[in-house]
Amino acid sequence: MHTNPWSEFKLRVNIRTDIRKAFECFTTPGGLESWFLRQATFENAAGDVRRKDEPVQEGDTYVFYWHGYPDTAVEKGKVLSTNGENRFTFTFSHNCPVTISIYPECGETIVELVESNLPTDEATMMRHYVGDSKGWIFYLTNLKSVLETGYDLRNRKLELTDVITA
Amino acid sequence: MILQKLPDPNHPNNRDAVPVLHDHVLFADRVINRYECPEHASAFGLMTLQKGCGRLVINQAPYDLDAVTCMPVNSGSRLSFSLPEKDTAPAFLFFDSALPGAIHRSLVQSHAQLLDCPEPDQNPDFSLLEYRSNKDADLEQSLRLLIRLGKSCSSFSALKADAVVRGLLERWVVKNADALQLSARLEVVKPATRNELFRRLSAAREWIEAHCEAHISLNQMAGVAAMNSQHFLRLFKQVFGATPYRYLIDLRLDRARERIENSDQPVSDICKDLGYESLSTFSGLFRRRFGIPPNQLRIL
Repeated sequence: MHTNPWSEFKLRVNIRTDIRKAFECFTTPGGLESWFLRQATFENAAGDVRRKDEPVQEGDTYVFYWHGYPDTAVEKGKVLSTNGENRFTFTFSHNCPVTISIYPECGETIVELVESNLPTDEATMMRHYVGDSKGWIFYLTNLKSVLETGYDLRNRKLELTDVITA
Repeated sequence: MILQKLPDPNHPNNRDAVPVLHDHVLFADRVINRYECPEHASAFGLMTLQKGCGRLVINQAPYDLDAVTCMPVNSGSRLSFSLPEKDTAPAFLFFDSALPGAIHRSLVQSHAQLLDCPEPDQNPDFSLLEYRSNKDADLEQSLRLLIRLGKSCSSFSALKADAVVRGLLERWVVKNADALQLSARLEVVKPATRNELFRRLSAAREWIEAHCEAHISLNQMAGVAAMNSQHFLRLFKQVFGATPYRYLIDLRLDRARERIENSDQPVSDICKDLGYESLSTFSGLFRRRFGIPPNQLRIL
């Protein structure tokens, strides 16, 4: 079946870390805040907020806030699935599914991100494809930096704007 | 990109046609010369200015616009506008035409209902909100952020801009749902009359909120609603559940409480700032509303 090439992108980054650590960086609120978000809040179906070190579960809803931006720039979505080990899917950016797969390769850990179902209409195609892939490239690079060296590359200053690090 | 310039009226493509204002776009750019946009069917949008002044005509009713006011336009309304001054900066945000319906559904329906019936409902009718009001801090901050993001190379800038737009729209959808409930209290038969009366009363209420720290009279409030004072008094109470004066007193007392709790300003100064000449009158009203005198609240 023919798939529109602009409806999906895949990014891979090699990280010198173990699979469990990389997986926790995506599947616990605290892990996400260590390289990606200013604040990540997950709630289960009963409305209980997950602890920072608690693994998120399928059906959880989330609210994400970014470093360098006020709370008006808030992203909301849902966890679609998690196998608790190396595969995790959540909605992001207009409810497009983002799937994270983590596996070993050449003695390192590969974090693979696939964002799919991107809108392919003329008006928004480039905005989603380019905007989202560009965003993930910085943040996956930051994930590598945080896990390998401890250096967090994100801009945290509200007054410093228009930089790729936020 | 969410940020665009207003269509150039002198461009050959636009010379003989109505400029098309695409939806899900923020038109925010300095207009160097006078700008005129002929009447056309509008998408749902919020219109304000960052600088200068302008005039909108919506369904044949004129509204003056400046940097402190904001005018929502309902989807399908007939809109024309002119920016007569040089160096005016508009901030006209038009929402994606499918988004209000989707957001309305997501706010009122459960996930299960949304999954069972994935097709969006018709977009809500925002005609009750089509009145001029003061731009609040939240809208001001959101528009500034959108302008910044529209020119930005930052990561996920388009996604963040979309989130800001969705957040803004959510607040207007909620405001619209409240307006529908409140307007139903008006004892009138014709829907068009109900809408018009509600818009006038809402404009007056927002004016009271913006001027509650000044000495304002019933005649002034009624003047904003373009009604005689007795008619205004009766209808205001019917819709908002309190007379305009009671509403004003409660607003002042709420603000006083907020200042007492969040500042070190002396209670006597707060009392004067809010237009009360007698501290004992103010304290009595405060105690009746909150069950505790203002001085004791600060001690707590």
